[in-house]
Amino acid sequence: MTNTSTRNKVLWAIATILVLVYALFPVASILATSFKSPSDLTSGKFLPSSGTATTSNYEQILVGDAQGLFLSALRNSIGISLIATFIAVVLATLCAYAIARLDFPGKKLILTTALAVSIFPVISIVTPLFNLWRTIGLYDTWLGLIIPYLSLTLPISIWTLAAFFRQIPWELEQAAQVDGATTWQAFRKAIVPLALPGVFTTAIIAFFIAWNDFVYGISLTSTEAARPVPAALAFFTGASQFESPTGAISAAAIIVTIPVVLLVLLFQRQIVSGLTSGAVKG
Amino acid sequence: MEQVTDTPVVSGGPRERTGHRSPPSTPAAGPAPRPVQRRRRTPWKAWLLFLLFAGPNVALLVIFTYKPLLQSLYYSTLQWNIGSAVAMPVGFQNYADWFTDPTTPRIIAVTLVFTLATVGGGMVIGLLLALVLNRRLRGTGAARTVVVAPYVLSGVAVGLLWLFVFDPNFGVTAALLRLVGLASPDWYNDPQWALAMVIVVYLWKNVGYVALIYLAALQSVPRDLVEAASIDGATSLRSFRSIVLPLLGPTTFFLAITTLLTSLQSFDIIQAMTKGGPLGGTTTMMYQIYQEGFQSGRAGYSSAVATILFAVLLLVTFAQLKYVDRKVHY
Repeated sequence: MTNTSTRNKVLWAIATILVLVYALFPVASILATSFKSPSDLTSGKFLPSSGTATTSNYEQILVGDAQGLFLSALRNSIGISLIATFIAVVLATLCAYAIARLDFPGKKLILTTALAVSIFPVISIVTPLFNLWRTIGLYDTWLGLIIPYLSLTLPISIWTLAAFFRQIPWELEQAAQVDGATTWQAFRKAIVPLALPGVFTTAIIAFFIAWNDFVYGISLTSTEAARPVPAALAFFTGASQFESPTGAISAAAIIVTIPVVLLVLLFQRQIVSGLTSGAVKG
Repeated sequence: MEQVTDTPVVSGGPRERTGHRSPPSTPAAGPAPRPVQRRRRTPWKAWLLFLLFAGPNVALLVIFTYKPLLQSLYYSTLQWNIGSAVAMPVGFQNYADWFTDPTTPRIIAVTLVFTLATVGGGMVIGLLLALVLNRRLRGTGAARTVVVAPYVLSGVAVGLLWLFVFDPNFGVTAALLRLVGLASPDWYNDPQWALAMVIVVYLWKNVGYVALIYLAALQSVPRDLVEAASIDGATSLRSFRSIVLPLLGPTTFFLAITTLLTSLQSFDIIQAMTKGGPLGGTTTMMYQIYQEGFQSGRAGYSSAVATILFAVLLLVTFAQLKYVDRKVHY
């Protein structure tokens, strides 16, 4: 018995290592590429040849030729995603609160209306928006991306928050009032601390969705004024014809990937609970 | 969709009663006393509050999602180039064109292969990953983070990164294949290998989500159930098949819907890696819609294909919801 269980343990450990390699290897290989010099790119070796490791790829996109292309995209992505996330979370919190607290016919219809949006193909929405934005001057502006990002993030935010709010023991509020707290105090002291983790989780998920959008980003922008990072990365390929942009692209990809990986590491638990809420019913 | 716009009308009626301050005489209110009972609101007050809280959301979604969707349906009946001032109504001609176009069978085939491979493969690999991560060994916490991380990365970045990995001359896959004495397939120029490449990358990026959801479901499987089975002499494979797998049913349905919806709409990886090529070998319906609309500028035709894709998404969702009924809380 002990024999087989040790063997099992070893087998599972090997499986875990395989999983780690599978997930990490591509990223590691790009990280290595991003430090290679142009002449070393074609060496076929995993690591940069000894003595030739260079940070020139990073310099090129952060302070060099490609700076304008990359840094403005980074600024656009951060600004647009943060604003869209903030608005989406505020609106979704209000809506989910109403869904959790108020009871009347038609509630389900509203919830369905909001959630049905998530099965609409984004690509169907983008042409009419493109047309409208050109007419009213929102094409290639921050607001022109913030609005579609709201319709991307609102449904899942409402859904996630409604799932969180359903679990809050709302009686606490009344209990606090019985103990002499005012309505506002009861809400702030008893309910807000319980609701905050859910709101925070939702914000992280919404941020990732906005940060990673590509269809709107590439279709509704045309210049550095609003073009977000994923769209800029896609344009990077054609930026320099004479020098292979391989190193610069891998450096850019690493730079936009690092903050996301850091967020995942820091907020692992919140992300997991956000992605799984509503998906699995005990 | 019509019912949505009804909402304000319905609430508008009762709101007029706010004029006189006597307790509203709606029949549902009843003779309930008025103490601090927060939940027992009169209907009109609940409506007003609800309108205040949910109104902005609904308005945003109706104006910027429902309305464009309907507009797109309308565009699909036009012969119209994007940005052009002239549009000619052509009825269902765009649809007829798509169904008779010689490239359409290939596009359907590519879409089917891509979708089935990514959804089916994703579920199988995701479940296997979840089973590994469900062991309480040292390192599985880190492994879980690492597996989920690609899911939140930008698809464009992932696609570009993997493009180097697949490089037939100095990519990592080529080096690995050389180790076992094989030549690298021409991932960039052979339509079938290119499709395989895009599928592998899509799976790598998205399988973490499936694993995560399965992992959560596995952790809610009662341990004593599995232990009881093993005491009764069931092998672990047997107890997995007869106990764990059936319990995962609802989760599997949930994942089938969500991954199918995202797979049919996947765009970023294809755009970053192959741009639909070579020779249309990776042009899915989704990619065709983008190409026709934003590169060829044929907005009417593109909208018609988008409508067909939307119909497919609707059909898939309804069929699955019908089948699953109340088993999944979606």
